[in-house]
Amino acid sequence: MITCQNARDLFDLYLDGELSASLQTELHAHCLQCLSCQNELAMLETCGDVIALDRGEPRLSASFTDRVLAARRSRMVSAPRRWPLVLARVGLPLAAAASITLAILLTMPGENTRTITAGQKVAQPEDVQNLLIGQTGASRSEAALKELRMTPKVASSGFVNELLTPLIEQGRVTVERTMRGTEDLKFLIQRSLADGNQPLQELWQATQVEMPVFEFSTDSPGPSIRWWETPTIIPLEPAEQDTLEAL
Amino acid sequence: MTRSKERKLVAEARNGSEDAARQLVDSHKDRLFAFVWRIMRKHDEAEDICQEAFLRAFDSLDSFSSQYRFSTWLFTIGYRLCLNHIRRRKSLTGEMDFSSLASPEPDAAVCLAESEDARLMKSKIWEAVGRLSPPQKAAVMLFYREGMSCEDIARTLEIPMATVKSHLHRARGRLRDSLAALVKDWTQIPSLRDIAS
Repeated sequence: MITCQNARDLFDLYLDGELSASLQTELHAHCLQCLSCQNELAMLETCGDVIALDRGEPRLSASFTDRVLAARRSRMVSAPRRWPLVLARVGLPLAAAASITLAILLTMPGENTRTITAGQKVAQPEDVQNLLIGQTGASRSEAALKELRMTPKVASSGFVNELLTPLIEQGRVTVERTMRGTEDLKFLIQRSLADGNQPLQELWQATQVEMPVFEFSTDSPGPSIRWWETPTIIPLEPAEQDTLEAL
Repeated sequence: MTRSKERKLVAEARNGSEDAARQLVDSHKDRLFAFVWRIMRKHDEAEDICQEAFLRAFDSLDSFSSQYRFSTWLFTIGYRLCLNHIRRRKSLTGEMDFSSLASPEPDAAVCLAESEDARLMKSKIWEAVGRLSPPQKAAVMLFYREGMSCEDIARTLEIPMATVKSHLHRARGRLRDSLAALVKDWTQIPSLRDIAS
């Protein structure tokens, strides 16, 4: 025969429905003889029954379902595009442009390795110069175009046509996509601000304070415009050029 | 609602069907509200939490695993929201507002027709339940009202199963302490279970 303490230790397992049949028999046998344990078990069972069956809670508003669905519609309308997609659209071109710029900066010869004197123009492959004037001329100032035309030219080689020209075209396309993406993002932010998106407003204000205005301009100084001026192109010997073109 | 029908409705709601969403809300709202209200004991807050729980569930239907019941997922979201509200309420007032837990709102006294004694008894039991901690209340409600196993409760509340058992054990101990003096002989109330049903 089990003791009262043993019986009380079994209450949880019994009420959880995890007590083995043999122990249930022991417990019932004990409760038949012990009014205290019988009373306590009856109380716990009654509590469980009331919690399970008594519906004493207030009722939900009749319009609850309609309100949930209206709120859902509102959310679906106000968030037609998912931010990760927008960020991917903007971020990927930006990352590509940054990678190209970084690669060029890393492969640029340092100041102390340059063989030209200050103010001296570095010779530029003719194809590259024509490409830059033709494709980006509209966005350049007259002074920049004039400077570009005054830059000494060297004859293009197969290397320029095969490698550099596609690279420049790729870079131009990347910059254009980045600018478009930035405009899209700006538009979305402004529209969200107009919709009263509080967290975004705070984020936008913080961004305005902490980050400088970033503008894309092909006339601005720096690696984005000057990168093609820095490499020193050494003209090939006729024999070397023949070999390269044959390759 | 059968499991296959629930999966079908979830799939349709995921594709934007408002009718499916309505059926899901209608079939779960009362159970979710009872669970949330028992923890919060404030009608407005409980209703707001239920609405937010449904919206969050719909927003992230893509991540819903059909191996679980939709109700389990809803209760998980609802419980998290309850805890957030309680923490916020605590941070605003500096302490818990136990007054809202001790006595139910007037509209909560909508019980089944019964004798005055039985009504008083149930009221005392619910008061004792109201004094439990939120995790204990949640465990007790899911165990008794929803008929969940300890394993399902552990998954719903995102706690170990041993902790669920501990919550149930402590909850029963507190109920026993609160109610022991209420009735001298509980075995002499044979009709209570029938009345509750």
